[in-house]
Amino acid sequence: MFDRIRQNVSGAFTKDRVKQYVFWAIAIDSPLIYVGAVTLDDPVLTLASLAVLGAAGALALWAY
Amino acid sequence: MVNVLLAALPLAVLLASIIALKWSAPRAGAAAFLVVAAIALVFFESDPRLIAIGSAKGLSLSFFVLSIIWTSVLLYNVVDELGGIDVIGRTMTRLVGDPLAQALVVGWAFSGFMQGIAGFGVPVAVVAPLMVFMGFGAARAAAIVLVGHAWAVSFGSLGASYFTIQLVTKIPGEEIGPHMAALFALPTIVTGFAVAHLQGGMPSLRRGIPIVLVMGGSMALCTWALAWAGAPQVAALVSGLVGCGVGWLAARTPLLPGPGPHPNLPPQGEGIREGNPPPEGEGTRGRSLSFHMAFLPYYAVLALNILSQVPAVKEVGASLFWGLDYPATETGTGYAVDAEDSYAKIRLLRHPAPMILLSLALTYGVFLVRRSWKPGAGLSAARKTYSQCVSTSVGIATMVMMAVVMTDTGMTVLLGRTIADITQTAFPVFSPFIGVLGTFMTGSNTNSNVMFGVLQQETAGALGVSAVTIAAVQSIGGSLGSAIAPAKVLVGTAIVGLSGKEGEVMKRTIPYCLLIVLLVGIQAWILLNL
Repeated sequence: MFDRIRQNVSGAFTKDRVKQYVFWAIAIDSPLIYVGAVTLDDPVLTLASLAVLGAAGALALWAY
Repeated sequence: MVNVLLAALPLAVLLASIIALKWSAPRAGAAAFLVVAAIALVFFESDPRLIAIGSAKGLSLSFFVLSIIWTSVLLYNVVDELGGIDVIGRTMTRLVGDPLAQALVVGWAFSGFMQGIAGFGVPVAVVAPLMVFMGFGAARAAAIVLVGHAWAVSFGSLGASYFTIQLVTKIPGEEIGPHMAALFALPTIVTGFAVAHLQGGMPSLRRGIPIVLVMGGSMALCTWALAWAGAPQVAALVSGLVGCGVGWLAARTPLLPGPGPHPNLPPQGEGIREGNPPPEGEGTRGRSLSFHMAFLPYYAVLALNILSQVPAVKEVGASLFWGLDYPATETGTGYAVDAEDSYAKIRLLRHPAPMILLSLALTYGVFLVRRSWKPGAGLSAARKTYSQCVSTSVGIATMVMMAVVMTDTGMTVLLGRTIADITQTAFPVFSPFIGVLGTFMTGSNTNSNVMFGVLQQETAGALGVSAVTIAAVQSIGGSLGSAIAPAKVLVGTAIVGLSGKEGEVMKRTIPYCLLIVLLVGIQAWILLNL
């Protein structure tokens, strides 16, 4: 069972998959950045959405 | 001085990672974005909110450009799935027999038309194999298409690069559109001469003078007229078609004298005899489709674009737009950016993306009524489009965010002033080479405009020369850089079976590209010093 889980996890983190995750992370994070920094001017949401963007960037460095 | 070096660092990272480390555009874009965010926070006294606003603006701008890219690639893939690209290509191949006319009509005008509707390497991918079928050697075919389509890149992809330079510089379309189109006349015609020279050396160049002037003149005039009439998004598409028509007619007149030399004949065993259509069985998916049916989606795009210029439609469309408002910002160093209303505004009745979607819906309806619709074509095209566009989207988004954060934190202005101080009055000559550099690094005129558009504008402002001319020249340089961009050369070499021999193709295209770009720079310098 653990082998299957390990296989599933490693299958979900192939470079091709991660490339798509990066794309979707940026796409989903876009409205959050706007809402956090402009609409609500909320420092927590702004920082959280920037952190997601930074993480997506870091993943892109590995995957692409 | 330290701040200048820091401001240049994100661009240096982008440049070094793409050229020296051979990273892909998304990877290099991500690295440059992370670097610019860190520099802005630590050295340019920007708070996280300012970085977030800059990134959000970058994403708004990316959405404007990417919606054009996704829909135009989807349109191309749908037509391809229905067998239409095959039909369009075969029709072009059958129409002209003379090798020089083939190079000019197919490699120059038709590849420009393909750039007009799709871009992103599609002209190279579609036209280069057609030319090999026609009997051109593989390296020569790839080089002809790479140089031949470069005139159409800025106004191609339904205006993606043109809209980008307009958006990043905030120069109204009525100003930069016709100006850029007028400055494009020279490189448009000279790319024609380059194609003639690539096809058969000096004899072909001399023989082709009348037909190149007539074709190039028509294409340049058409590009300018459409940009002036407020339809720049179809300028390359229509001009490419006009070039095909004029070339086809001219090849039947004394404008193309005597039988041409035949240096494009392939070596033994490579390609087929010149002038022949591709052999049956190869790419015959669209056999039952007529040319006009294959072309229907593009007729629809054209018709909708013309319709959007009707005053009544313009009036209705004026209030139908979408864009986000952004507040004013100021860094700790005192660099201020004004508030923006409806940033990167998408006008529903003028933006190419809604029009392409509407033309797709019309095409679907007509094909369904005529029972020509291939079941699953839409889904298959959508899947292809997704896999083709994901990397491009990440690359564009990261690079645009980097460029906007640089701009909003004052880095771009600082760099612009420094370049102006160093180059002084000779800057217009260097300006298009900066555009080439951007395209060379990223494989995209759009990315080049995002990266360097504001920098060029700021430099023009610091030197007191026309920002419209310099911004136009940036885009023209970016357009011509497509002839040597490794990303595009790779498409060309892979498709004609020359993988690993990219150097062979680039050796052919680089001299033409650099010469034409130098002419563009000299033209800009003369214009600005008249």
